[in-house]
Amino acid sequence: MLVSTLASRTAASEVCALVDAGDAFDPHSAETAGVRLKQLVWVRCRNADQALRATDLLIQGGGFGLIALDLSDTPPHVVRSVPLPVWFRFRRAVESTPTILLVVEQESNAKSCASLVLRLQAQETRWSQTSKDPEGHALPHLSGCLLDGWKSHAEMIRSRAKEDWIPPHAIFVDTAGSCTDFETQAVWNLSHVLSQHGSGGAHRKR
Amino acid sequence: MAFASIFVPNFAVQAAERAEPVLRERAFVLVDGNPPLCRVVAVNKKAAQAGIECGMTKTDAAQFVGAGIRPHSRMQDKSAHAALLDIGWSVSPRIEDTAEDAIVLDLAGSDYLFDSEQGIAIHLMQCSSKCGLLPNVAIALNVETSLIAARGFTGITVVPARQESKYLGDLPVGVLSPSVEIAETLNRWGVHTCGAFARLPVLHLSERLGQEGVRLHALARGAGSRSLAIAEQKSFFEEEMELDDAVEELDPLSFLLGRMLDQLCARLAVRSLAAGAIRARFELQPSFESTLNFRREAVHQKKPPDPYESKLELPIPVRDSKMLLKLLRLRLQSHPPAAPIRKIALAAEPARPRATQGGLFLPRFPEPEKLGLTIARIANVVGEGNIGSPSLADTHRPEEFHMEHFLVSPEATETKQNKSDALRSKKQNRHPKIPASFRAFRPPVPAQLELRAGRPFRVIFRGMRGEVLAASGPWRTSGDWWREDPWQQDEWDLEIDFRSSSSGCDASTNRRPNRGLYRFYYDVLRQGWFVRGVYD
Repeated sequence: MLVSTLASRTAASEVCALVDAGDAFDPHSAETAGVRLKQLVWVRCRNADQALRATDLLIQGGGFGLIALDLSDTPPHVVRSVPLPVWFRFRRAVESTPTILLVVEQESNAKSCASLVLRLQAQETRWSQTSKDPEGHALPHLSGCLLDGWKSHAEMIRSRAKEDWIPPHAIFVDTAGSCTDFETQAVWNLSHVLSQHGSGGAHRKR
Repeated sequence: MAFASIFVPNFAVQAAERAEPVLRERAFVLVDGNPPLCRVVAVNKKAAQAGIECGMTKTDAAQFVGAGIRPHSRMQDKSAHAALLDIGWSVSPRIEDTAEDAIVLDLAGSDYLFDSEQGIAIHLMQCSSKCGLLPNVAIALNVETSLIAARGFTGITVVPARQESKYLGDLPVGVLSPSVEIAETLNRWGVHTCGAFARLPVLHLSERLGQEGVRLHALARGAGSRSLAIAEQKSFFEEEMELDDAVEELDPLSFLLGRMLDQLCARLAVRSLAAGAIRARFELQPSFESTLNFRREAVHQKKPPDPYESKLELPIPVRDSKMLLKLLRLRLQSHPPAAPIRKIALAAEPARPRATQGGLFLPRFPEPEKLGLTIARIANVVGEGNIGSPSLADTHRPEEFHMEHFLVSPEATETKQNKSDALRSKKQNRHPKIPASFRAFRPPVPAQLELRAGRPFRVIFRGMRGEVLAASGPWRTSGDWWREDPWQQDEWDLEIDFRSSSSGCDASTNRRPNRGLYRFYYDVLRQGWFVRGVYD
């Protein structure tokens, strides 16, 4: 979700910022997924405190289409200890601007400060070639087996979006509790990659 | 064709006031020389009214209550003279560097830009005021008359054509800068004004005073003519300041830096330039002075510390002194000097100012000046190399990229037409496939793998233990064999189930996943298993 959001915003020629609390961003897969790295400011932090301070400075600086705060690798008890006024401050700073503040974390901590809360969960994985015995144990794989992608489940926990804000192509309806499934595809399976590098057999690109 | 002369009266005093504007409000003097022969070399108007004269000793001048005493600084004179040249070059590329306190401009062609000669003079005065100087400006048809008028008259003087002798008539002969002998002779004759001097018969004058007298006679009549010795245009923007007491704290240092940056930016603005980079050079106080160790052997043994040098590269040329000060403060906070500072030199590398045209349909982007400051502030928090734009290296080596300084380019790359096409395709595909992303572990996490029949069966890493549900691999990659650091890895994509065996939490994220998709690799050269990251 994070990478696809960055890809869509940078494709719209907007300058985006990623505050990476765990220094986990992979520019190689991001570029293949469509993120324009030249329009991305990547802030590599060592801990949540640095990440929150950097986010505050970016919001105060202004002009970004998207500021993404990635706290996925930060232990939940650390993120829970962030005072609620911090989230309020962030909300107040962005609510009158066109900037989107996206926070990715293991559990929802922004509470009522968030305009939209989504819970995402990975589900069934798809492989190009699978074989299992009746008990479900993985059998010796066939050569050339590739990771195709996986199915994800998304549930809207909270939404304050007004009806006219929701674009026609949105995958959610505007009621809390609505959910949907969507496909996540491995980047080497994307059609533009195959057309660029040629198809023929199972091969893998970064 | 007219010429304009700019003359700065009491130049040393004005140079000191330019560096320390608060001195304009009080009486002060400049002293020079080695003690105990330190004497007053220049006084400002208030000090002169109080009775202090040039030539007094420093001790005598100190008797006057409320009079400030400052050492005469050649650096301040040099900076003021450079500012004077910049003022001249703001109007004409042909100027003569006549003296430290005077320049002459060739105004040919300037009437296209200014409505009148008076307008040119007003512009020169305004530029001078911005640069901290209060000169006299005189415009005349010949070089010498304009110089004499600038020296003799205060403020703006425009000498009309063929009225030079009339305008110069009442000025004292001293403005002609005669030699001492000629000045004494004229004084004995009772010739005190240029008008009286101009009425003397030139033939008799040449017999008594020689060619020099004839030359001065022509100047007094306003008939002197010579061509300009054009000075080479320089782009040298540097301000220096030597401190009486070394500065250790950032706040007083910022006050001084702000003043110097104001002067630098004013000079750049006058020349329609901006700063592409700022170079700061501080001379530091030798440490033995602070320990009061004046023994001869200590003085000779210890050498002064190396000067502190720092270059502030700016993403775009900037002329805002407040922003430059903020950036410089952030740099000094992150890289402070090792000792108190006793001399400051700031230099600006000139560059053309950025000229961009805004558009109604351009996407959002941060203002480059504000963005530079924001990035500097964040760099102070996370470290210099941890913010920027990632740039992939041209290699297959995993995790090979470098961070580049982020530069915003406001030109739109997507037209309105393309946007509507993108929206249309999104409408048609209500459930698009989202590309998978990968989260890297930096550094890669060591792991233990149990293999069965050559494929991973069980894994242990970060306090977690799981069984492999599915595997893709090995995908062998290698490279850079011609370098000292080649790499050779066998990569696997593994789907791992952590529920099937007793498994702890992930030691770094405190998370206990049920399942996960990870990329493992076996480093053939280091002969160990590692986890490169997780699919998200």
